[in-house]
Amino acid sequence: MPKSSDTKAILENLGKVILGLGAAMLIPLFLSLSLGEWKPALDLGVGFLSCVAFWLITALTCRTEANATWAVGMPTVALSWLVAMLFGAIPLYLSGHFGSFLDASFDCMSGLATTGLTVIQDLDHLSYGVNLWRHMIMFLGGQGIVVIVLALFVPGASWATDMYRGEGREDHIFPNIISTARFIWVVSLVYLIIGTLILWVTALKAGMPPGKGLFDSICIFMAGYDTGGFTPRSQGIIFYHSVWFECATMITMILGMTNFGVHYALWRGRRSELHRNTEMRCLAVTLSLTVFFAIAGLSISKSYPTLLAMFRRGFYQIVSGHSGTGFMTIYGKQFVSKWGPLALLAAIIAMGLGGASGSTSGGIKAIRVAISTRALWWDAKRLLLPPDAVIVHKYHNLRDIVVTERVVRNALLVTLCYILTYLGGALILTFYGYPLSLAIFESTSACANVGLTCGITSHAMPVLGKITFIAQMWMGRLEFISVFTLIGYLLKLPWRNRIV
Amino acid sequence: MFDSVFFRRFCFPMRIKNLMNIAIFSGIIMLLFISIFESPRSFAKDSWSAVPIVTSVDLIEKSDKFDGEMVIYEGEVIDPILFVGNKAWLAINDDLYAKRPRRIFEELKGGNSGLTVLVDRKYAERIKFTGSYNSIGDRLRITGVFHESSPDFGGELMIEALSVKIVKRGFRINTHKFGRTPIVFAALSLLTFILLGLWLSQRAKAERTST
Repeated sequence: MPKSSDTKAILENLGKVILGLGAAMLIPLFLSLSLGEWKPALDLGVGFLSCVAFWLITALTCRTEANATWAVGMPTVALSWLVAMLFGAIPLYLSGHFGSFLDASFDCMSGLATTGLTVIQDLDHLSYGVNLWRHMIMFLGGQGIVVIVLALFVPGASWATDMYRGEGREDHIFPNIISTARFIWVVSLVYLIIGTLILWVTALKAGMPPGKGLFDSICIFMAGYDTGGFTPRSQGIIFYHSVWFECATMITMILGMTNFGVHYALWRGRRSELHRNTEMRCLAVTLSLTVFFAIAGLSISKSYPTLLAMFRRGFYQIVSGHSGTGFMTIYGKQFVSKWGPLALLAAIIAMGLGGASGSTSGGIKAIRVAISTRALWWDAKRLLLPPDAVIVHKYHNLRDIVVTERVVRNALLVTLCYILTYLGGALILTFYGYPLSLAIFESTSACANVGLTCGITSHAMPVLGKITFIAQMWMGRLEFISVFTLIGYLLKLPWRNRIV
Repeated sequence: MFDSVFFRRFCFPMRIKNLMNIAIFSGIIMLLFISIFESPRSFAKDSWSAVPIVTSVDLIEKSDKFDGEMVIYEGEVIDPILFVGNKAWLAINDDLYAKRPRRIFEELKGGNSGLTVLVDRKYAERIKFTGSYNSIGDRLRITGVFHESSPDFGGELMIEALSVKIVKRGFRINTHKFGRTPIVFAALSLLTFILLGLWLSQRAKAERTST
């Protein structure tokens, strides 16, 4: 049973996470002030003060000297994401672009979970400050807000490993998790600078004015690299009408869907990791297959006049879906009107599979797909061998890793959780009369943290649909385990036992 | 001199003839000019008058029906305009905010919906206001050809404008409407200040007891 000191430790850490979130609000606040956007600056100021007040309350009431047990890490992460959603939504709601606080929370969770689905209204008249905040939420969520706060405020926390795993990350670049988190942030900031510059040049070439081009480039890099999918303009990537801009965003998305361990290996000059890594090989196969089926589907339905156009639209949408980003170069309704059933199915499969583990993309993840499919092959092979034969199976992810039955079971369990959640969300949407194929498309997009939409997600969707999507985005991003741990923790709390 | 037989017989008729020739020549030139520069526009204008204004939702959802057709599309031009050579890309929203701006009427009516339009640079240069946080964009009436998936632009769904008319000028908005937010901000500042004081005193107390 959890001790009261554990609960205090969870709340104390939660306060620190929210303080970190509040501190991040200062960046868009200063942007608003510099541009003379006084009302948005005030909205962000209210958000900042709310975060500081919450931290002070937790610091005053939940101060504990006792060492927290192992049970603290995962529930802290799961709870932090929910509470961060509520606090991050404050400036969004005050901006006046959301019909309700639920809508603002939807967008905030979508940002934190790097999904990219949005229910914002009148986006094209949104202030720069709040627009930047939308994209910053994505960067914070994608990089692991809990981990960065830990890296800054709680050096050497013994349960940091659980928190790190709780945010859906598994790559251990350094033995120390905090060092790994710091390294990830340093590399991400370097990528942010380089990526923004490349996007900016392409945006200028596309005809964007320099200042607005820079703003859009920063926002789009943050959304692309963290496989988010928000864009500063309502028309998404269509707005820029540039094949070079599309190529630059595609590279950003591919960088984002790549395991951070592979990034590290490449930084160290180990290029062989790119083709030796099991996950990267699996990604190459699944991406090629889904692109092939999408193009085949588009050519059957004669959606585009030329092969080049078909490839440009088809490839972009599939890369966007597979990486879990959700940038679109077509209008959402075109998935329904132009993409035939085969291309739509390819997009659903690409979204459902997701990118690499240890990246910010959602979905089942390539490593689980590789392990699950290989396990089937290994089991079939085992039947042909003597019963007492000892076989060791391995996969390569920076080093050779032995595949135990536990690893296979975990991979299959998480895969099953994802598939059930995809179908569960679709079931709820069909209750409201949405066609099954579109409901599966949208539900997969939400749970796999993608953000592609066929038009179901909007301010007008039913409240239960919005709540379902929030839950799907939250669970999908945290890969279920920390959510289950939080539920287990709440069920085992002393007060709960007394009531029972 | 003017009364001379010679003049009456030869010069006057010649002058009249010259004048008539000049008039006929000018008329032909004028007709040519009209036929070159004006006739397609006026001809198209007659045919456009029968074309109803279509919405972006219609164009996207029933793109097959409108592909290659002449359409009239109306909406608010959104910031920024992308100038590329002698052309410009406009993002034109025809949602409810294009008619009833949210910043003025303070009503939320849904998401943005619109289309992209390719126009000649000269038309785009006439636009004064583009829709953004602090302004409502010019309202334009676009007459042009709708492409479901333009082969020239990588299969993009767009309108290629033949003519652009500014229906209504945009304007800057008063962005200094604060509502109750300043009161909330002041109350939160006070609360945070009190909590900070308590936290600092608790911390000082803890340090004293530890020493």
